[in-house]
Amino acid sequence: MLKAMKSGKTYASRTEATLGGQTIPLEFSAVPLVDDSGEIIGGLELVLDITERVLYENRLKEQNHTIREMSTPTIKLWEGVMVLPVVGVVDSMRAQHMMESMLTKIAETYAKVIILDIHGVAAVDTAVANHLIKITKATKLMGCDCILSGISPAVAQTIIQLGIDMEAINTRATLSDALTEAFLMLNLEVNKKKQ
Amino acid sequence: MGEDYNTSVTVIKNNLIVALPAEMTDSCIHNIEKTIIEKAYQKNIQGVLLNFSMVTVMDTYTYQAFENITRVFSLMGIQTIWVGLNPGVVFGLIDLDVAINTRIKMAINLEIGLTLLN
Repeated sequence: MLKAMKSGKTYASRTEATLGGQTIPLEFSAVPLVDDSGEIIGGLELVLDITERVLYENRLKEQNHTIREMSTPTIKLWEGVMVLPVVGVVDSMRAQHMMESMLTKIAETYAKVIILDIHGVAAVDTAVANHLIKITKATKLMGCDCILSGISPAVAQTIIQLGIDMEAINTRATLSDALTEAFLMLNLEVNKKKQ
Repeated sequence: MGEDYNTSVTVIKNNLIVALPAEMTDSCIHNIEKTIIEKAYQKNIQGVLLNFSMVTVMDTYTYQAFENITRVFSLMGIQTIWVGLNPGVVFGLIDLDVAINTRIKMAINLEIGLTLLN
């Protein structure tokens, strides 16, 4: 390694070393030492045991994966009706995951109506609204109608104040309203049992 | 001019079912357009099902070409339904920011498409 840094550049890399039957991840960096005239007179190499860091990194990766899986559950609510509850913040990564999860589920189950419940989304801005509009367009292309539900008064006001055009999307205030609408689309009727 | 496009066109009860190939060139789309419009006119067709379930690639041009075909059919009083677009194709179209015509009827499979026609 010291030979390699004779070129005057700094090197940093990761490797693994086996010590007493144990494999330890190592990080090393090599720096050339230069005197006033610019001539290389030596080198410095630093080797670090990064077992813990690698462990943390792997755990973080796993957790990220779990959170992503948890954050986009598409649930079958009725024959041909799916629900995707959204909680938290919608960024472009998340929106893409939502779309992916929805489209594959639609293809699998032949759902005709999908309800996107944004009750748990704290803030809806232009970007979030755009993502939602994109998702509804995508489901439309799959032959599945999308109903946006869980729009609180505050969110509705924000959308109007921001001047976002959501006319193209079927929107409802609550999940139960959306379900009623879905039943209407599927020509279903809910009746009280006769005594 | 050879038959360089492998598209199957079936007529069932006044409905035209068009199974589109995986990949389509511009001239291929043009050929398909000519064939199905001519056929629809001759056979007194009431509804057309465009089956996209085998299509793997779709760009803006392809989308617009089929949107135009749908418009042509609507002028002729024929209902057109798009059937079986793959999730991957839909993803691509959304990524390309294609202006999607929400008035076109879409269905996930042929069965649902046929019930939409009737």
